[in-house]
Amino acid sequence: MDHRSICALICLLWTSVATADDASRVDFQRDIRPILSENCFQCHGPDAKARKSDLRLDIATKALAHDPPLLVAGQPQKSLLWQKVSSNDPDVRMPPEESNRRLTGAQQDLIRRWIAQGGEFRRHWSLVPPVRRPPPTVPTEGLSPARNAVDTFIQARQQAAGLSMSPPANRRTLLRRLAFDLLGLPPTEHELAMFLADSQPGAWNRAVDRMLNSPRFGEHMAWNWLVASRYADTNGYQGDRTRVMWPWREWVIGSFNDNLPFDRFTVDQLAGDLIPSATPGQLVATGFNRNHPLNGEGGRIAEENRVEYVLDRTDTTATVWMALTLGCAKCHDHKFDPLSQKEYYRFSAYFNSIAESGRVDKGGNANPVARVTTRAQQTELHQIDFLIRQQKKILDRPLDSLETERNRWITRIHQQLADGPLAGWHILAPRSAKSLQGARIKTQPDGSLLVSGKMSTTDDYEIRVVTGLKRITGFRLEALTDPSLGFQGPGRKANFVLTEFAVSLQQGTTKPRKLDFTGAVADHSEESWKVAGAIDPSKTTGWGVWDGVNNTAQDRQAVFRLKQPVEIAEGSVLVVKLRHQSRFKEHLLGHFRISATDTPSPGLDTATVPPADILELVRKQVPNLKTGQLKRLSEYHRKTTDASRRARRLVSINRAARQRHEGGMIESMVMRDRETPRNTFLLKLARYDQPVTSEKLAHGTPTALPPLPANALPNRLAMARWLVDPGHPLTARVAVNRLWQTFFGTGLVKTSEDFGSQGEPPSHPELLDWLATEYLRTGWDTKRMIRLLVTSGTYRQSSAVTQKQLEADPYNRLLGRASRFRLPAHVIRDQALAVSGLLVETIGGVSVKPYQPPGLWADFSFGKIRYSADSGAKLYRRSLYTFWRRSLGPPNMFDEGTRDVCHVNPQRTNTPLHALTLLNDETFAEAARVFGERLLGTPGNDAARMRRAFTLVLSRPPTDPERTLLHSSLDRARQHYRAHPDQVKAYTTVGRHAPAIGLDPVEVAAWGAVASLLLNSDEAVTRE
Amino acid sequence: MTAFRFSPIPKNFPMQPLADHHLLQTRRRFFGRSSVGIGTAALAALLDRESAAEQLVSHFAPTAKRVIYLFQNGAPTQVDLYDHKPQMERFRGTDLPKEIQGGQRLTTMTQGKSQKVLPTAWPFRAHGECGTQISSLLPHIGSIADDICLVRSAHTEAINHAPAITLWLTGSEQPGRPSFGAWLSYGLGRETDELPTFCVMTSRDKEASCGQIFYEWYWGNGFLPSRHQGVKFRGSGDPVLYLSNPPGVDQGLRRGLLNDLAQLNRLRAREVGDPEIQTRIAQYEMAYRMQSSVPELTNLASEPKHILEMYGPDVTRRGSFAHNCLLARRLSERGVRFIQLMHAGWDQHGNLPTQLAVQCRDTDQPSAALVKDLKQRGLLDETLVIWGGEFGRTSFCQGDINNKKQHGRDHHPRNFCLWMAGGGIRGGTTYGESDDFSYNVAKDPFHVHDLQATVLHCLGINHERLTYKFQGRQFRLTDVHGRVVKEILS
Repeated sequence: MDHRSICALICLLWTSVATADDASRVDFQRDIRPILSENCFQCHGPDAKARKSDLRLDIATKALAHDPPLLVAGQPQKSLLWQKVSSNDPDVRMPPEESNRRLTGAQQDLIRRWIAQGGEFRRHWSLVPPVRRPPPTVPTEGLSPARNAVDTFIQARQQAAGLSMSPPANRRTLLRRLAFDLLGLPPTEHELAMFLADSQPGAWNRAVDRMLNSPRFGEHMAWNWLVASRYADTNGYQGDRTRVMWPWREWVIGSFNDNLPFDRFTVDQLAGDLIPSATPGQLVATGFNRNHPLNGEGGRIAEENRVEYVLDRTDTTATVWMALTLGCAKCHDHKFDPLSQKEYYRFSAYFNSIAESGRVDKGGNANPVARVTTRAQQTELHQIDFLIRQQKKILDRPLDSLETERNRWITRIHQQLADGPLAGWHILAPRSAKSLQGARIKTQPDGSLLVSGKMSTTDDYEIRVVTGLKRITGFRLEALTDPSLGFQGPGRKANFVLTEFAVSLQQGTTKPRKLDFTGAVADHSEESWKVAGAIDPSKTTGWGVWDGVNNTAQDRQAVFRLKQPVEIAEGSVLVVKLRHQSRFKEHLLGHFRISATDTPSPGLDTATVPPADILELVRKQVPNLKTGQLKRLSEYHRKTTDASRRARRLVSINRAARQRHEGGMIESMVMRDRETPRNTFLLKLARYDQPVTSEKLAHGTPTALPPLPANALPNRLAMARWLVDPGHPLTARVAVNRLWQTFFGTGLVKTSEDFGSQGEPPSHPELLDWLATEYLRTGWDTKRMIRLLVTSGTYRQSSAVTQKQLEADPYNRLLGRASRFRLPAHVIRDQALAVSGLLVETIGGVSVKPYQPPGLWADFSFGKIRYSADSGAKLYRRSLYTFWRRSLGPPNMFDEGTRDVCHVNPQRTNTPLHALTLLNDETFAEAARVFGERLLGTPGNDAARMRRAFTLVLSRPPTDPERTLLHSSLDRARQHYRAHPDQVKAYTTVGRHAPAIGLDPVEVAAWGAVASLLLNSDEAVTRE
Repeated sequence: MTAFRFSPIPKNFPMQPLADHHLLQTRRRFFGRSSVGIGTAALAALLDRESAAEQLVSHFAPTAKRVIYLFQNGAPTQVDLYDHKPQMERFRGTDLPKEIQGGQRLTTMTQGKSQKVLPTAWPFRAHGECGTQISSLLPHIGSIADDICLVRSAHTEAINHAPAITLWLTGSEQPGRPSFGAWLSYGLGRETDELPTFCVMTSRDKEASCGQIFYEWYWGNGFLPSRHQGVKFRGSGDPVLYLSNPPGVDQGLRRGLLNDLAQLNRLRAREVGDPEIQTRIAQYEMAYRMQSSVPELTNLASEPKHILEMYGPDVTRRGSFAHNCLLARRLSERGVRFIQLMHAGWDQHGNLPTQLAVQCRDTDQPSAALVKDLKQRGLLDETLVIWGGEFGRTSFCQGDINNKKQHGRDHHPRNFCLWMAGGGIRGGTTYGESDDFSYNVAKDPFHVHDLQATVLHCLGINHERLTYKFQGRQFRLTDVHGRVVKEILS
């Protein structure tokens, strides 16, 4: 394929170029190529199969190699091209009759003049890397002073067309414009007052910076990116199941707020999973290409679906980053751009090895998925880990630091020993332990028992123990935590319910005798599961330890007192039975220890006697111990100090909390390649079952674009990095053009989704290139680029339009004024919530369900899916968070792109249905009512309230005629409602927000009517 | 996105007389302050934004002014309803001959299973002067045999509901293209200023035996401006979304509010000069008019008893197919351009013996009544009615052929039936033929895009010239296909 712009022949012919004055100079890129593309390329373009007469007009060398010569520079009459397009003979004329195309007189004239001026051929503009030319110098006399480089480009073009810039908009309008553009909300009263009060130079820049630093900025910028990425909360198609992709949305918001450079923004989303040691965030970011619909219809062929998804990602990626209509090359070579069908499939190979099946195989999601943490969850996890680390430090205190304390403890034991036998809790050494249902019970070094293995609904344990004690007055059951248990225990899955604690004494071969208890105490019992329940005759009562805050992970103990002390003969065995027969499934003890005592009145405060081996060491005295023995003794002591007990408890609690968080962590769809890559083939007619298997296609990018680095791996990471390589001609241009579209209404390239031959050439090619190179130069700094655009004089013009301007430039492509356009529906809703004071400004999280007329979901789904609106704060979140059902988007968000395929260009229409929505939807009716209440809360008279109403909605006071009009409107509403008390009642209770107390309902209704009027005014719904 | 093309306004510009008069008046008022007239380009730009039609096309004299599409979701069985194959009885229960099946793609529901021929269980009978054979399940449609053209060679590529329906209604299997009605709104503009130009109503069988979802893109605007999308008339609640005033606001108060709103907007227009403001004022007025025209439309009190009886007992039940058929007639009378009814419940994979009769009972009488009613009012000549589903059903059995109650037919895209009436279609005819097993097209194939090309032709539009440029390409309803089937035109 040809990459040179001008061929040698042209250079030769260049000498005979007729000179024409510059004003009428024909520009090949702007004037000629689009004509050729539209009318000729179909048969004389890139598609080899469709090509007629072996003539190619999209590449200069090919076009100029034609014989007889297509172009004779300066001499249209001798040029075959001109002869063909100007012929009156239908058999000769091009384009031919059957093509349904015909050049207009003006187009023919352009071609004639172009040939007369030399017939220069160039490569399509967007495939040539941007060249940075210095901003033009513009004579500024009589012009608004240019504020930055943007303005000089704009003014140079205006001057050539005999136009000029409009004066700056007034400051109130400007701030409102800026707030809508950057935050998607009207300025607050505070922001407005602050800006108006700032009369120092740089006030505008300060306002811009305040808004760029607002968290609302990321939310607003995320919207268009969600639309481009076809984000929805459901899968679409039949069934339309709910999926979990909102963590990706949260990532997008955060990325804009953190000003993640656009190259990283790109790489993270296309290939974050392949970045070495990728962060959780980078994994979540890859959700971008999992936002496509998923088809779970019965009878579908999974592989067909899977291939559809691969092609969707290919098309979407090409549109969003390169504004290439690569998708047109699915079934045949592209008709207009140098993109072959084979290249399409080579590019699709990057998306062809995802570990996916084509099925909806992971709940409402489809594999691959990842457990993801939201920002809030991450913060909490960090806190938990910090606490665990802190407690561990206590548990691992240097033994030296405890020496004094340890020696005191040893002395105390010695004193007790001197006083007689130790009367404390003696751990009963288990001889055997078995579970009725076959779980495994293992004795631990510390004498405790740990249960594992088979988990049954209910289970009883039987433990046989022997003891050295001669006499027993009571038993202690310790329920202990352990990392192997659910949420750290002490039950096998957190909580347990012990329905019976029974002990029998077996002496010799006699029948075991059941011991009677007189009472039980525990350091903690659940309200309805007291420890006494474990020794009463009822089988439905028992001991539970849940503490009501979702937490059981603490060591607990219960003490059971015998009715009468029991004497233990040598060789006796105690049989302890722990029964779990409650109605709660799997509420079984997981880790426990049983001790006994001969102390006269055993209780929770009865001290613990160390196990025999430790006691032995204590007896020996410290100086007589070997190093190893001393260490063992000191470690035992450290473990049993109060501080260590407390720390262990906290570790358990925090570990359980962590486990709960992880369990509560949601799974979201991400990109992940499978181990063995799939083969990629060209698919005939894009049919999954018609691969051309004779040729395996390697990963690759279109050859019309710069090549990949020689050592590039065949994976998405290499492709993503290639996209953001500074030499790529499209990515930066496409990105800045979308930003331009956001802040000026229309892109410099109006077809922001198509930079190819059939797209519109840029209105200001030099400016587009300058901005693209500036974006690169500043390290893809998005906030900086936005600051550059909104601090330009071009941005700050008035949007008022004169008749002369309308005539000269109806679509404002030369930017002789600011563009004035209707706000998107989601911003209109957010504005209503904001000015009424209803808006809840929480960032991120799961999608919410605000008001929607009843029956919509049930209607479309035959009653299978029903809408149930949320309540409270969730009704008033920003529209960004509204649950988006792909088959049926939120009904009050008109003109918002459907979420089936990628959209990068907004729609702005004007229909009666929009009027009905803004007048009658419950959301807006409630907002008007609550706005009315808010106005009534304003001190002062009607005039003050009216002023505030205008300020809140329009950021300005009313003009005299407006004041007169609205006051009469208010009075009429008052009279109306005074005469219709039934309507007042209905009006003041619309929506779920409780009516304000202490206000005159008639006044609320009348002011609500005024609020509705203002919110429906053209100015309110327009970005001026 | 839009590539605006400025073409001089043709003489036969089918403007909505009242609205355009109004708009021109306001424009005159608006520009009246100045002595200089507005330039052509700017005027075109304004018209482009304000007029109903964006790409006015009238390539030849139309035979139809509007279309009513009675879409039968789920795919009605041609074997049991329209494609009479008595010779199939000989093969009952035998395997479908290999040469007939021809290795065709099947859904995963019947793939690899045996394919026993299942002839219809219902008798057919010749109807009207033309003698067209139609099943006894559809006596009323039989009674209009002389008014319809029965196509017996329809075919498509899609084998699943949503893609197949999307293909009929948008010309492409994947969602994203404008729907049929949106193209007409875009190409022909509006005939009425009281109602939307493209209206949609949906219904389903009473037993809700199957659930094919009605996706919004079936009446979507795709990449056309959203004012061209179909307006869904609902079977419950407000007939049009947000039509009713909120609680505590009556029409008197609303009228006053709209007057003040218009005045407020005019004050702003004077300040900023944006002609779009005039459009907004006009659209708020139209919204207000719809608040009375839509309830008037849906109020059947003025319909005499004998008319109600024509449509059958369900006619008074909101949301029923019969009710929607009567509303379709009323919409036709009021100048709505494209009326799309969708009735679901034809997907009889396993309940053919029991459910098909129910389905026919629900749809037969109202469908026929609509054609008769239009005819007796002289509206059939200018209204093209289409009746058909997204594909047909297999002539072999799905499930156990010996189970008298539970078996059915799988999806079948290769050959099926639909019919058209009025608006330039030659009645009392059939078009195309299938093979002996109603399995393949034997003669005169009639593809989805052929229907679209033919219907557009009846409306005076060359389907190859109704185009819209999007993402670098000129798109059309018929994609790059479609043939006007002149043989069925009168």
